[in-house]
Amino acid sequence: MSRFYIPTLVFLLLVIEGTLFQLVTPYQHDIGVTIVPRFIVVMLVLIGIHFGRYSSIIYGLVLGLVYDIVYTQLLGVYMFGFGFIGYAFAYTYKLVQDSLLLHLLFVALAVSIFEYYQFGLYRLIGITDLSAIHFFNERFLPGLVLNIAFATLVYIPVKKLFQYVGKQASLRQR
Amino acid sequence: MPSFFSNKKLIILLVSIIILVAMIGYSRSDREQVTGPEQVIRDAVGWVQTIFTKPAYAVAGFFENVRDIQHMYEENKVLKARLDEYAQISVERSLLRNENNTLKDMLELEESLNDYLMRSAVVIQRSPDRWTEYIGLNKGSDDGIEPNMGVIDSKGGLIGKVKQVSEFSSRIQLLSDNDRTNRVSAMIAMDQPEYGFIEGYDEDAGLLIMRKIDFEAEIEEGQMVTTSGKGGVYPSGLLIGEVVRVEPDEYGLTQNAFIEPTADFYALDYVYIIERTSTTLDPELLEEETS
Repeated sequence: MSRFYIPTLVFLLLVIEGTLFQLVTPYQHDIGVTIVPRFIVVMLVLIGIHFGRYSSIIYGLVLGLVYDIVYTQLLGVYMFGFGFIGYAFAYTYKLVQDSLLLHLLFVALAVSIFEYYQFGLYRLIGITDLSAIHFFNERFLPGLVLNIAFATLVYIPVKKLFQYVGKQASLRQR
Repeated sequence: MPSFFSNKKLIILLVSIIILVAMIGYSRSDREQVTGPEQVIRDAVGWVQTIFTKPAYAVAGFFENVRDIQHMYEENKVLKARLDEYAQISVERSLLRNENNTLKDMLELEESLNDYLMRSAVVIQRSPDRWTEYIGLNKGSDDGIEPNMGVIDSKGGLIGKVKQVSEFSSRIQLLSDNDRTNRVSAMIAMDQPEYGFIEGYDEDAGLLIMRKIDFEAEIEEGQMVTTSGKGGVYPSGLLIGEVVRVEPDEYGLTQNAFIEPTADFYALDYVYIIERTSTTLDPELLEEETS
């Protein structure tokens, strides 16, 4: 049973990004900034830190594919991006696992890399013509603040859940 | 961590970049029909999204009702003042309708460009990354939805068109999406209607931009803009918005009008999908061509 907890949680976050979150955020021409939730990137970093590279890559690829199909017109952008985040942010050291600050640092790095990767790609294929300075002020900074806040908020509950799931998995193996 | 990219990993990275480019290239072309597995995933996720959104709309609707009650008294005063006007207009309207029907009978016209069928649907999702403006609806090809049907919101303002359809859900491209192929043939309602295209969206001001209007046209603020029915996608007479200001375009050959949309693109919950029932070409004309 416990092995389904994390996939369900991450899938629900994917759904919430597109439904509930869109209902509660104010809009661009009201507040002058666009807030983009990257909850899945946050979760990928946490999974990578606690369960290792193999799990986070699989989660990244599968969630990226679902994200591409459900929310975007282009296939592959999120799949590659999430897969890369899963690969690059899997530091399963005890030092990292115990420190909130290092968690947040990695989340910030992952979100920044993902945002700039997507912005660069969309500029390249002409989906957006937003200038880099506007992107930085109106999208990147607010999004970064939101996602770090989200990571801080879920840090303790998610850690508890991960520990519980990890314990159950090791019990099963015995 | 021994080395970030060993030889084998480098090859995997390069191969996945090639796959990325290939997949973007494949999906970049304007696909109206999505493949089977994509449809299944969209429908499955759409089902879960419906579970999330419907109760949320119910809660939001409750708070909106409470807010409405506060404004009731003032609204009532304004409405009472306009009641006389209404009686006058309704008489005029019935007269005009009768006249229109008689004229149509005389001409033996059975269908016009503004015949359409409406189906209601619920907005279940919106693209979270906001680079593109797409929303998802809970009706699909199972309910008779097809690509290129127009969509209006509950206030009657046009919001966009159906872009992709799967079995039980569909994706709508909003008018505010900044895609070059996203355009609507529109007209400004006055004695001598002026035609143009809705192309592009000014995101900071929240205004639609109507281009290619005749330079000679005298357009005033507050005039209503509707679909013209000439693009072959939307029926005519769907409300788009109101002219806010007019300025000459960058080459000085035509005019651009900025339009305040009737529909609120950001507070969509229940919408209607418009199916155009009139055929695009008169069958008699087609017969003439073949004979």
